[in-house]
Amino acid sequence: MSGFLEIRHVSKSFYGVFALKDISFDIEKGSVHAVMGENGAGKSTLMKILGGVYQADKGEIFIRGEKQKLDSVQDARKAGISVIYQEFNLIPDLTVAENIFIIDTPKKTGLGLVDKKKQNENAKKLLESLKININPKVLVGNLSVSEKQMVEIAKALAHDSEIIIMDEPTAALNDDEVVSLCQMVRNLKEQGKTVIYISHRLKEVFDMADTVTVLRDGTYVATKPISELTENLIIKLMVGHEIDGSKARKSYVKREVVLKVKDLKKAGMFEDVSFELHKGEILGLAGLMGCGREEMLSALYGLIKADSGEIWMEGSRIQINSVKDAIHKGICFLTDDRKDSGILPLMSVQENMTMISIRNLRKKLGFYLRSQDELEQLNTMAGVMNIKYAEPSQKITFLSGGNQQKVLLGRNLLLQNKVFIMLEPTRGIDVGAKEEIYKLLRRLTQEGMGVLAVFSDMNELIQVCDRALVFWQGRITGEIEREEFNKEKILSYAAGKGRRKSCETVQV
Amino acid sequence: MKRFRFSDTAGLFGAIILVFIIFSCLQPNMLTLFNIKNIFVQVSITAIAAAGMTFAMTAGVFDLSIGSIQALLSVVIARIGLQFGLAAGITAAFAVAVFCGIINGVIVVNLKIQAFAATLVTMIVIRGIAILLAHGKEIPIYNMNSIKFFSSGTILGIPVPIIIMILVYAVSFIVYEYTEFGMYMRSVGSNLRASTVSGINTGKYLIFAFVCTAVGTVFSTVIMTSQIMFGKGTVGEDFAMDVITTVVLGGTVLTGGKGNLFGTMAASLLIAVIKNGLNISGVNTYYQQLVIGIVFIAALVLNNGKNLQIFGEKTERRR
Repeated sequence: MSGFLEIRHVSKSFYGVFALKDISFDIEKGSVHAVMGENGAGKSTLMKILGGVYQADKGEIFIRGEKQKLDSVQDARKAGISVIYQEFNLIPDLTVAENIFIIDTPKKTGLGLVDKKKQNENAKKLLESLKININPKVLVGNLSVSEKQMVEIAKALAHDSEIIIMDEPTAALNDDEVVSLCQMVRNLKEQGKTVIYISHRLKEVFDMADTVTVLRDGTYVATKPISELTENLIIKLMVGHEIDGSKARKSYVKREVVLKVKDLKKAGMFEDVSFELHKGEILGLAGLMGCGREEMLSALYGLIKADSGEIWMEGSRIQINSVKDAIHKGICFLTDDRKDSGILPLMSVQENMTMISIRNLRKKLGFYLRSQDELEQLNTMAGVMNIKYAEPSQKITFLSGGNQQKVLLGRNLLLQNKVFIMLEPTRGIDVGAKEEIYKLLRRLTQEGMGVLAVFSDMNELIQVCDRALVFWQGRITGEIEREEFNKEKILSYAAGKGRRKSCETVQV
Repeated sequence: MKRFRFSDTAGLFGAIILVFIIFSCLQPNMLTLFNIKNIFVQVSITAIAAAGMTFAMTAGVFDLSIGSIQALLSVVIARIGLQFGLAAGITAAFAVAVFCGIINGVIVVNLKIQAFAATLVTMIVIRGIAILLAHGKEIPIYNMNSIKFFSSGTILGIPVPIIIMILVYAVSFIVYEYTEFGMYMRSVGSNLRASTVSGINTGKYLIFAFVCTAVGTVFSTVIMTSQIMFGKGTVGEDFAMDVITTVVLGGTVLTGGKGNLFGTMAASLLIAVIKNGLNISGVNTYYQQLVIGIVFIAALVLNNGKNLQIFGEKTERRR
């Protein structure tokens, strides 16, 4: 009964809906403890309670047998708990060093002025000890997503906390960065720190964790040492039933070319990009960060304008000068930044769903939108994708990540589209929702839609795609068929080795 | 499917009734039909412009220049009205208002200057133009009797300003709730980048936001001018602040994305009821400001508490 950190009968509800129901388990000192569960299982809520952001309605938390009062973030910090949240809590207009020491700013004695020199030195020391290669004097706003993640971790470690909570730290990282994060977690463990780790990626959990606790629908399911678990067992505990993810996917690739891109170029971003996308094909775009694939896809969707090149849709040449053009031609787009450029946060599920399609709805007197029409669209998509929400007027921010993602997908699918561009369609969502999105992809390709997809998780790319193009410095360096998929090959192309095979042309 | 919830505004309406009852007990004059009509007429000038401002703030921008636009419009109505007749004066006012709105919008969208700074500048420039056009003087329109209809006329016993206000709000509500235009206005305010990604011409809607406030100001200015019966370059100096305060008090979220037309209407009523009651009770003007200030803070605290619960996290400023 005596763990280092004891969670006892913790409950929390929002507006009468239980987010956590009577949760109790122990965490051992110096262990890496993974907390798993689908989106909406209550992991983040529990972590926010430990971090002092939310207060539990009922229940107690003990550290070393002493009852803790966690009424604020400051309380949690005093108790030795640091949390690295899913959303970045960094201030973009401050430097890396200023962000790291935002609470315990080193001061010059006497006047109380900020000792910038000491601040930068301390930050540098800290970053070096963590093997993070970032200049402490640069503004956080200029860093990439993964660099921000690293700074966030450094910030949490600056307080010398005993317990470090990481809420999906790898969601935005690529494979290399995940490896260095794993190393960092091991270092922390060696220093005797306790790490509570939340992730959807099973592989990492098996790489790092000593113990796994599974939550489902706000209730406690089980705590088990990793040695007693298998991937399928964890999934079964999380979902409540088994998912067969290993079965080989059927391919629906047809001969007809739906989209053809020729010599697309944008100075400084990408050049010489030519490829064909077939009907029913899922074409994966691989490459390291900054390889130009996102920019190229943005150009196809009209978010940026290419300098030169041709785009052909079903055999006829099209011009894409704006997003409106792209949508009109049957191209749709799923952003990888759900919070920043996806959802409309203050608005309802229904409005979020119909925001693109209402342009095509017939309106009474030419302007009056009938709510029944919108509701009908929502219901159709909710049915197709099994979206869970309380009522159409519910704010989208109350939905879990997976359900929000389904709404964003549905937003695009309400129009008759031919090509779907997806950036990270499964980022930050749980195993169950992932399966449903894979199922949806299968259905879409079966109906003949062409999909251009970016996955930063290479296993996922290999599992889902029919063919892959690898980008390096704005150019396509490799093209790999499904049968030849393997990680080493993709990585070597992504590092700029090898040249692209000539693409065989299939005429319609 | 119901997007509008009365409960969002119930507090404000409750406050109006409460304040009204208190004053009625103190001063029986408060309850006369004449006085109630008077309150509504007083309300109309701010409330109509505030409807337009609600759109702008829903789209995530706001317009400090409407006081100056009001002054310019009053001069335009007076000068063109005297020369070519009232209809021409009002038509010209609409044209000028749309033009001012477009200028504000273009500065914000195309020159990428924040709405606050942009309209702070146009506020000064438009005021200057208004004073120049009036040669720094009052332009009396005492012989233009037809304009009086807009402040003291009645239709079926209902004062015309009230009718105009109700029409403006009815149209605004339908546009806000049931049209693509209203929906896109809200999306742009809610998440500009998501709107761009969804193929919405966000610049167009931001420009429309400024046109909305300017056009709302035309109605307000016609009523105001017909009350004071002159055009002048220095009228409406507190107007922008009054209107913005009303909209904020009504529960429109400052960061955009969520407007509340009924709240705006209720807030303007609340302000008018308090002012009227204090006037009738013979309270010194300086104390009036104090009382109104306290009521505002109370209302904002109530609103804020509710918002914090609803969002569960800090809402961030985007624009």
